[in-house]
Amino acid sequence: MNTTYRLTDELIARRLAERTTGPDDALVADILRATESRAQRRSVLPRPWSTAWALLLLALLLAAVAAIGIATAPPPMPPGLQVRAETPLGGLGLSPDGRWMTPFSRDGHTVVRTGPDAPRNPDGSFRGVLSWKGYSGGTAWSPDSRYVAWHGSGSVGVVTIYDLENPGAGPREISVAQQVPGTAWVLGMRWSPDGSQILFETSNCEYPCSAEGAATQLYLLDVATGSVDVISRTLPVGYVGTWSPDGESLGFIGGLIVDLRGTVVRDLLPLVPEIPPAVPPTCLSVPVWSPDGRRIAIIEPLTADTGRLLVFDPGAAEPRVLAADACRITGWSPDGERIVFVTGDSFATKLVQEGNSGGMRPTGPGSDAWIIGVEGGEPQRIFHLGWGEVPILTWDR
Amino acid sequence: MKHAALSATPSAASDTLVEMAARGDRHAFEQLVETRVDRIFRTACAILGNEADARDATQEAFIAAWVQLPRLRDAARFDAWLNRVILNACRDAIRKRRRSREMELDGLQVSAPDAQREVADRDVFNAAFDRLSSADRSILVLHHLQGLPLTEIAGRLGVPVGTAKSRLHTARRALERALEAEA
Repeated sequence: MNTTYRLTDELIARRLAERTTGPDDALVADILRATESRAQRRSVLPRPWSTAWALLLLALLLAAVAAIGIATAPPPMPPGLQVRAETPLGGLGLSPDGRWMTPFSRDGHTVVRTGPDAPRNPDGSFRGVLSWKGYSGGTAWSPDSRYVAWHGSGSVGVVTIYDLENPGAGPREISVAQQVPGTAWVLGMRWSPDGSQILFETSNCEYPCSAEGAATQLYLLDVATGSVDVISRTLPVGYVGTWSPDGESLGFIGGLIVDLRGTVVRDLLPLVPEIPPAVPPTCLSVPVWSPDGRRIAIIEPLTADTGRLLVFDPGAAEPRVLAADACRITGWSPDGERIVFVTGDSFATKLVQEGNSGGMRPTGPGSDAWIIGVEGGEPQRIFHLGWGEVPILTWDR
Repeated sequence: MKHAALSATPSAASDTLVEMAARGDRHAFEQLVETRVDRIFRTACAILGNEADARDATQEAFIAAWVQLPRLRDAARFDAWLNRVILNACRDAIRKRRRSREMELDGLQVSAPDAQREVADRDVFNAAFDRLSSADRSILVLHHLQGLPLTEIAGRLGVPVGTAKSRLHTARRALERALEAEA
């Protein structure tokens, strides 16, 4: 017998209401009992005193360690992972091979060599092999780590590309201002896996930008010819994009995956708010493909500074929760078997300027870096990202 | 013990409770639970369709709220955040259930006499609703059970109103197709 339903608003509301009952007192009691047992996981100190208590406890611990002469050795690094260098704070922009990085300062960027033999100034700071001032939307490294691209050396709408293997040739400048209508503020440059194109974004409003009416314009810059193709001028995505390993898809904050024509091909997190452009969130919810392109990892944000690490397996409609507390995905291991992620506040968004000196001072509790097998298990903490020197990780290849 | 903070405006008092709970005040958290457990539980019931799962999801949501509350920067966003937490808990419950799906043979009905038609219709609706994705279920519950207008849903999900409207339309179409399959 076939039945035809007239699906009215009233019918849906009534049927849904029929599916529900109110909670009983026992449920409230169960909740309070369960949270009581977890009270130890919470800091119950008043906030203004928490930092002071933590510092006091840390000082006592260090004094005790010093008194009994115990060496404070860092935990052993997992196989295949090594600390390449330590660097001052900032937007690190590590090259894919780990040999170069681009910490920023108030005045611009510097390219420095990493590793224990990296040239340093007499005061211990890194000596740059290349530096520039002016506009900045971050840097982008070519997949072979030979070229570094950045926005502007004094002119808005100019992408500068520098060949590190041929420093005498000087920078190559490509003006995109004429090819990009409106504000040509170039953001979020990402080099394609084959090195032939650079994805970049421009926003239709200046930072800080309200969500209403904001849209990101996505473009592809052909590195060889300097020509620009439009992907989309209306997508509600922004700030950071990632390439799939095959170079056919782009992932954006909020879990949207689009093809190179700007068509949305997948929405990983349909319930997660799309992020307005030019407003960088603390925890980056951007899809990160495994090296073979078969899996996708992403942070599903729960609050402003925490989320869940999800992994979408091939053919599975629903993701697996790999870690219940995560903020950023640092990357996959080359074999795709492990993922490094960061919990806690991001160091990159916690810099404040110190007076008129131009120096940058970090605030906040810092972060922790973890590694976890992609099939699951307990994550292993690698180290704490405090406010001193930040370890730079590279994988053995 | 009730807190004097409740003498302020409702939203300000609620924000104060959230901030106190975030600092570890158990009594403040108890009041947050008591004033919200009905809405959260009914939402879970509607999405999951059975009390046992809804009970677990509600409990998990409030435990997560207690553990993660210190990280919530804006107390005024507590309710929207709690909504997200319960929707996530429901989604997890649906995933688990799909991994260990149970067949309820008693629920299959060959025919439905007139007197039982209403009950049968309800069973068909429930079966159809349980076919939907967690995202479709969630937006239907937010709109039709919680009675949130599209502008409010869009605000809570952080998407344009047009996107919320589109998602609601898609969910209704999915429900219609599921009803046709179940009928």
